[in-house]
Amino acid sequence: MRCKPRIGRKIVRILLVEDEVKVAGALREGLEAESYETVVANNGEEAFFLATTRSFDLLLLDVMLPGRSGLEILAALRQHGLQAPVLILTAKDSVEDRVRGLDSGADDYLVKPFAFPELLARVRALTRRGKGDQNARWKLADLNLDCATRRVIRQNQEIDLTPKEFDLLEYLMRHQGHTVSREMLTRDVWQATARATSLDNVIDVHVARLRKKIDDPYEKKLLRTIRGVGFLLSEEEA
Amino acid sequence: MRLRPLSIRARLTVWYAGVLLFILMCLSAGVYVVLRASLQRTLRSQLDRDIQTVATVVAASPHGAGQYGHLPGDILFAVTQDGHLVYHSNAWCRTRCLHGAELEPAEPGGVWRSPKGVAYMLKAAPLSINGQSFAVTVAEDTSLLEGTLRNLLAILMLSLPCAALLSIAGGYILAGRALSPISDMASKAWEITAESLSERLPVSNPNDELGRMATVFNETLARLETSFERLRAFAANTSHELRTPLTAMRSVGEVALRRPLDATSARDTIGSMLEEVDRLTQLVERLLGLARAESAKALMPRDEVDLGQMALSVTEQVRVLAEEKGQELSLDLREPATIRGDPSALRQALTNLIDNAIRYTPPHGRIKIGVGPAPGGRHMVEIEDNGSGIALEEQGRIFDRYYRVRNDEHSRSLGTGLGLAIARNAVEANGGRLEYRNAAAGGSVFCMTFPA
Repeated sequence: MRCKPRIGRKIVRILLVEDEVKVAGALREGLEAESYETVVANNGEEAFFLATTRSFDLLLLDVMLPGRSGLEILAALRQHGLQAPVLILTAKDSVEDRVRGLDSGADDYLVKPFAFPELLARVRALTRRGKGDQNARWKLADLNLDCATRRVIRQNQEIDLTPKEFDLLEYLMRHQGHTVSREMLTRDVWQATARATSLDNVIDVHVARLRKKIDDPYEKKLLRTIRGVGFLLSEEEA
Repeated sequence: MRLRPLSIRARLTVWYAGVLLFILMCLSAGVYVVLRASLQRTLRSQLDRDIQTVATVVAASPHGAGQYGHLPGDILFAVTQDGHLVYHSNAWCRTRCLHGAELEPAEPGGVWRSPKGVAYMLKAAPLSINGQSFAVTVAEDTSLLEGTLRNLLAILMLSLPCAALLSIAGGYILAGRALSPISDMASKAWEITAESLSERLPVSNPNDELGRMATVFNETLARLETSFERLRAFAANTSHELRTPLTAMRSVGEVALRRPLDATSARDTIGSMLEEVDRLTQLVERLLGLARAESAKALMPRDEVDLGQMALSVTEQVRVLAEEKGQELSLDLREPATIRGDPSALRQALTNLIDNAIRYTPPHGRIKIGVGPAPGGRHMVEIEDNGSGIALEEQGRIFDRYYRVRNDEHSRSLGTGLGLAIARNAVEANGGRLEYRNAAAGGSVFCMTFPA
């Protein structure tokens, strides 16, 4: 079992503001499975009350709430002195919507429907913000990756990767133990704004090639495809 | 306070009646003036004749008033000498009305009004008999003339308001008749809704002004109908496309629930359903992107886009797909080509086109991408493959949304059917054109051109 995510020595506490009961339940279960302490608020007033009376390390805020909108709540909370980072969940993704969200005091936004691994990655990024984990070296079982020299070694054998394969592996190593969605790869490794079918195929081809190089010759498999979700680089066998 | 603007019908009526009334008034005034002048002229010539008669008689018998007895008694006349009345006819003083008139200086126009208010027209003439000078004054009663004129005036004053009323009524009816096609059209147009766009306005005469207007309106309706039709087809297609992944999700889920699940098959089921969710998400995203691109053409960024650089980067990105199929993907940068446009939309278009070429070209085929000048000083990006090409009857439809070329061999690898529509949209929004032609050696050529 993984140890609980902490800031310093504290357990990370998340306030999830979401009116859709099904979504709220699923997210809460998912976050708690990752050992985040999660409190759910179903409407803006409840969220405001909870956020002002208890302390949280992160707010996940749905924009379209009944009554006061998420952005109004956020602006009010920021005025009230809320320091915790806020991640906005929204079904609107036009540029103006994003700008408005960030103007109201949000730290990041995620467009619905989002992939859960993506949400986890954002949550991780926001709760360790300012820590800076620009690791130069990554290690997973007997697989080693050095960002400075761009060398990959498994079982003392150097593996020859193309630049794209290296970027992909580095990203997977950085998120080791966590599932990485195609959206995340599209945006962070391929730096593309829109996800296209062709790009999905491109990602699949690169993952297949990478697997051929880092996994196929070895007994212990590290890179797994989670069907319908994405890819996972981890020591645990399926 | 301002008056409410009148309806066209009321305005037409007012103008019509006003103009008619003005003409009638001018005509009446003219008739009156001419008639009066002519009556006065008649009276004056009567006076001249009277003077002639009186002068003849007076000259024949200058002495003795009694000798004038055979003069017509009803002629009003008086004879004076040095300001003294010498003789007057019986009628002159019959009612004492003209008494003294002969001694007064004649007014201009020669009208003398008796104290009783009867107006007479006077005329005086010098008369010399045997070296003595006399003056003869004759008079004519003008009451007949004035009576006639008064009657005329009364008739005119009565008939003008009647004419005004009639012209208002006539004008109102006339304007109503002239405007009735418009109100017909308006009520017809009012009935036309999104559900009855196939209806048209009545055109009675296509060559008159209203007919032309109705024709223009009908053409607008026709255009509206086509775009509604396309929208409807698009919505129908969209729901069909949404149904496919939904059906898959539903049947996979339902079938899975019918049997006991172990962890592996549960994972498999959920994974399969998530794949369909992913398909749905992508479809929705593309539709949204398409709608947004159409509604915000004016807001598109206009950055410098190096087409060669873009083609190079896209080609490198999708090269692995061609490699997997053993295809040869080559890029020919003939000349640098820089245009102004939205880089992300253009990149999307180019990606779709190259991806399409890879998809539809059989393994070990050849795909050539060329960037360079096009006729007319334009810039061009061409994507040519040596696949089987597209049949003539299908060429017209390939840019339609959801249209997929019939090709059983590759049906498994087909995309959403929106790729070419999105590409064409992006190219046109950036002022360019995207066209298809068959390659000389068989196969397809997609060519986008942009103004320099």
